[in-house]
Amino acid sequence: MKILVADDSKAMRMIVTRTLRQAGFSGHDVVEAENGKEALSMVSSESPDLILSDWNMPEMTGIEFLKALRASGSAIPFCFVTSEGSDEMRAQAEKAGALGLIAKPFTPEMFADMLSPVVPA
Amino acid sequence: MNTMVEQSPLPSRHAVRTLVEDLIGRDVDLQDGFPVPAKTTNVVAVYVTDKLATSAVAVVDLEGAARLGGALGMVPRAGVEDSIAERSLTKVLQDNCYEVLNVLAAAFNLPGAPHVRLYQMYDGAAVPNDVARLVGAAGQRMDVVLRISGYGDVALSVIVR
Repeated sequence: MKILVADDSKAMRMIVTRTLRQAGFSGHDVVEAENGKEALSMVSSESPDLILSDWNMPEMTGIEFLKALRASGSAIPFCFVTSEGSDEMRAQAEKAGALGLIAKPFTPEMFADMLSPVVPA
Repeated sequence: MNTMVEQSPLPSRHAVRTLVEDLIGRDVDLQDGFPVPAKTTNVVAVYVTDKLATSAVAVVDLEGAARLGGALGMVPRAGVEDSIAERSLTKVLQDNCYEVLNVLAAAFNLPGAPHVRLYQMYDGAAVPNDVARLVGAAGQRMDVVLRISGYGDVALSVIVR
């Protein structure tokens, strides 16, 4: 499957990709975006099967990206990977149609628990 | 009963070590240290509450910032040491250090404590007077050395208001 990773930090995109492998999700195509606006555009051009997105990004935030995605009719599984994981943000993410929220620093086990239902190992 | 407190707690050493270790994916050892000596090249992170009140600061010296950033991005050690020798962080090391200090906010966000986030990172720039006073405060602070496998020592001071 194809996984879109959106984060304004190149290092974090790399770490998310590495953690996917460590969680047992190997062999998938990973494409990257630097912000929500670019990610939204890449949904059309790349047709990802799963989106892992940071929350705070320039141009378009992760929650704005998710709302725009759902408004367009897309039901692609979407999970936040972000440095803040307050109850309020988790509720906001769920209400907007996210699979869930993984807070940094994360572990491969956290990825496996959250993503197993939607990513084949 | 309202158990909410107004001040951020000083994170435990274990929490800081584990957080950095989990984030960068390398072994990290933590030892007692000294307050990071005041230098214009220091990197200072300012954390604020949702009401924009300064609640905590974290200080790393240039060497520490370069090593934290390098470890996060798996930047070759030689590149990290070059940046240290030139007394200036590259954009990549700067961005990566910001990410580490951004995630460090999680160490303050304990149940019952005010929610805080990284508000600003000063890198080689003069910090406001109130931030400078907090950096030098003798009260609730943690002065440690993080020894990052493959990258070396990071002097870190964390001070809460």
